[in-house]
Amino acid sequence: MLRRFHSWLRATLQRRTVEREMEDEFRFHVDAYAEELKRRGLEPGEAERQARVEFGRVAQTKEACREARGADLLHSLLTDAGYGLRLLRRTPGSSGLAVVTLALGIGATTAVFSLVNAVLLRDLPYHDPERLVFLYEPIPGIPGVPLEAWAPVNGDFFTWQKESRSLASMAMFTTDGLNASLADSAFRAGGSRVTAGFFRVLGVAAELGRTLDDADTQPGHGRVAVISHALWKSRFGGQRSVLEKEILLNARPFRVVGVMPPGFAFPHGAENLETAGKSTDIWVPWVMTAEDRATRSDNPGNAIGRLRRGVPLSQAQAEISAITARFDPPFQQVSVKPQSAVRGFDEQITGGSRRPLLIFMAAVVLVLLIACSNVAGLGLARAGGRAQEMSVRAALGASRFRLVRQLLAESLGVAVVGGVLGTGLAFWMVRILVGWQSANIPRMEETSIDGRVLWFTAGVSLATAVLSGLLPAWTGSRCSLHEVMKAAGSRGVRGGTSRLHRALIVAELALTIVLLTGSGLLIHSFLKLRSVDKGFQSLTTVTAGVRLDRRYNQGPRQSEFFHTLLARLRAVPGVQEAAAVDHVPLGGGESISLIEVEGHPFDEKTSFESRLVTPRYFAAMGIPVLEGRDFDDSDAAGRAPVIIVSRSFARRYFPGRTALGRHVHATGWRTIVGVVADVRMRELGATPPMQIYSPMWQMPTGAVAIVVRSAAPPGQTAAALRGLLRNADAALAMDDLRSMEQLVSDASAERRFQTLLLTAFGAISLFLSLLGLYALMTYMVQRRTSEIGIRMALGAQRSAVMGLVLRQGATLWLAGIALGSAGAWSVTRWMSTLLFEVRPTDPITFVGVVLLFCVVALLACSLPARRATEVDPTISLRYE
Amino acid sequence: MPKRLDLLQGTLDLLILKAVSLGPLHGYGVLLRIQQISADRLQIQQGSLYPALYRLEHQGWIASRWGESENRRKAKYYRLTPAGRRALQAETAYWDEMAGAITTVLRATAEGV
Repeated sequence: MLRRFHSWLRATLQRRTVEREMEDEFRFHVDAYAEELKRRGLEPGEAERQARVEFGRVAQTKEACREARGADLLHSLLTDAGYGLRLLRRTPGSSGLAVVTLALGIGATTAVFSLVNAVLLRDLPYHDPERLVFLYEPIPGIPGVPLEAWAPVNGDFFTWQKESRSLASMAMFTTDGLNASLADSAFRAGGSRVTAGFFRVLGVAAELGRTLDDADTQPGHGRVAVISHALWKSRFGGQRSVLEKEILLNARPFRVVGVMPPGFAFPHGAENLETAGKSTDIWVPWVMTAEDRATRSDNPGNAIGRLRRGVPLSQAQAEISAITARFDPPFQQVSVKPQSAVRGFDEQITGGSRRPLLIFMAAVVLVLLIACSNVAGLGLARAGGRAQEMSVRAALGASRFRLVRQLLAESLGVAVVGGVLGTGLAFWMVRILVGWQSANIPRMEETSIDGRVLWFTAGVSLATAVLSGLLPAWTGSRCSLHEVMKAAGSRGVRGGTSRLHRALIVAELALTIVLLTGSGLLIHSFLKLRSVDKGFQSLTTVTAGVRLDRRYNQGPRQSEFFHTLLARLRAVPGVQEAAAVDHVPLGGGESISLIEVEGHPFDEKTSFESRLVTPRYFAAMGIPVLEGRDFDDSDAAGRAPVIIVSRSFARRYFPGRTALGRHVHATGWRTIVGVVADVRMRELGATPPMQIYSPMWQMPTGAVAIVVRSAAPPGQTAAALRGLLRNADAALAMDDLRSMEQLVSDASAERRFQTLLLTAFGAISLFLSLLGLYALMTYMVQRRTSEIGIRMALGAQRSAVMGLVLRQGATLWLAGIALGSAGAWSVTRWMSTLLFEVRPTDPITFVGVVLLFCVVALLACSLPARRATEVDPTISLRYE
Repeated sequence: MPKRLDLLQGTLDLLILKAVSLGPLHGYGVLLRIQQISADRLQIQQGSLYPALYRLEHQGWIASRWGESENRRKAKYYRLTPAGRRALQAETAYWDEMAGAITTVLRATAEGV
């Protein structure tokens, strides 16, 4: 076997040597035989002649020898390809068109596939990631709380950990922002407190030093930290001496004991969790007292686990559910028993992006199909022009298979060139795509063109070659010499274009309409989303997170700190308003409360978004106070407890009356003093739930977002705030300053991305299908030149000729519109989850797309039509 | 000149293997040797010799090497490989059996049946 392959390889690769050797060998044979004949007494000339005659036909023998070695197939394929390329060079116009078309199609497909590859197919960077799960403890019946917010209460987690057999290991962790400082420069870093099993669950070892172990989490220990590769490089210069160095975290010293490998940044950036930054840079042991471990009224951490080898997710879910069934309701306010949910990492981290990505993939496959049918159309046109060549070749003995093979080799040539160009295009598109997104599709920044993507591209190129080549090859090779000769002999009126070609163009136009309608719906949604009433009006307001550490563990100290900071901030030139809130709208943080309203029974099924705010917060954000008043400094600790509610709250509980002076039980009974507008705090695309605001001075907190409205540029405000903070306490740092405009933009980033992508596809396919229509019409005019010439010679007006061509074009694109609109009507409901306040059958979009399409299709047809009118009868009749 | 017989289908390979088994030969030499041993009774189409040689080489039954001919010219010599020797044995045994069987059939008489 090996020897045979070797011989084939040699015959194939060292073709020239083998050929020369064959010639030498034959010549030797003929010469030796001629010598022999001479010895027998023949004339030298006659001897040589007879030797050659007896040897037989050299070329045939050679071919037989080549076949004997199996070298033939590749060679003839190469011949075909070479012939194909030569032919393509001879018709640069249509070949160039075909190559560009395929490059666009293949490029777009490759780019989107590399996205899918990075987000959905590539393994997460943990050991055996398919065995990793998140564990939740949701309480049923409470609306508006996503599953991810239902972390288990500590006590229940440890019960799970103790009793579960199907999970090999489990751990809890928090997602925090830390004030870190090194040699008196303070900075904010993503941090996580982790229980002992954390690194074991994820199965990732330290790059340098060690990870955290059981001993570190014992009370009295815990002043050690593991840092990320990125932090090691940026703050410690990548020095090995980092181990045993000290870093101040929230003003307390920690010893660095390990560095994680590059790319490890769990849990930040794992999309389902509240993300203070994009990556986790510091991990510290979560030291818990026995009391902490037993509590059933607090759920500060998130839970993960690793399935035992061979244990399916469903078994783990069943087991955890069985354990959870014994639990009483956690938290005091709740009377409902908890449930449990075990979710795989892949589903939880990238599950939300699956549908949009698959929609993109479907859309890009449509684009590719359009490209293919375009190229097939060009091929059909060319095949029509080559009927004579084909029939002559068939007459000379070429088999149909041989003809198909040659035609396919030509389209393979086009596809290979298109594929190479497309790959180049994809590199560029991926860069743009990644640039468009901002944090909304997890793992997308890892998008790159790897081996799998390249294989995919090669496969797609091959498929396009077959898809776009088979039809023309098949029809092109089906030729009857008789028919062709007859046609060539006659002149004058001849059928324009093949029915197949027209059908292809109609299909292409229909697909384009579907794509355009899809992108039109997204554009319409996006416009609606951008103009939605967000509740806050000041987009220039800037915000930055500040978090106090344990040195400020008492309420009055926290209030005093922020009170002073805000007062100093208001004194900075240019600053108009300065305030603080616990979670800024669209900033990613959330706080939900169950409350009781005066005159209504307590309802644990209704949850409220609750915020802690300082006086002037509404003014700084541009949130209208509709009734009553804002908080002021007199709403301080020890004074009458007050609260402000949203408009929808007031309408729901006090319809037709004023809500002012009524009472709400939220951490004690509070009097309503104001009503403000509803604010979209969590996302732009959803109607906000009822909201309540409590005065921060009465319910102090250490973690706030400062909001500032200033006439000065943001950079100046940031510098001022940073300076004030450093003066107040050098160990405190603040997050990067962001404007509300940026937050709004981030909140709509995913939709913007989807809209841009689908619109790009729509534009590409519009371009391609119009190109196809244009090519078809041009070809048709060309084929009918003599007919048009006769018509004009017989007195047809130019306008009549133009009308003739335009009518023929119009039947095509009108059919495309009809088919496409019907198709779009039936498929757009698949994308209803991507739409906002726009129905999948939105008439404005449908009509708009059709109008747009009519205009450009008319343009694409009018050029060939005009050319038809320029036909000169005397020339055209001699055209053949 | 004795009467020349056309080769039976499929026997050329066997003859080539046999010829080469007696010592390395170039293509023309293979032709000469077969004619010499058969006392010129077998007729070999020269054109079919080389495809057969190439096929046998491709199968790994013979191997080739460039050497110098009797009259000091460069010529390609073929020799039997171990695999070829096994093939020759098998083919020879098969041929003997086949020839024997056919002979038996052809010699049959009415009384013998």
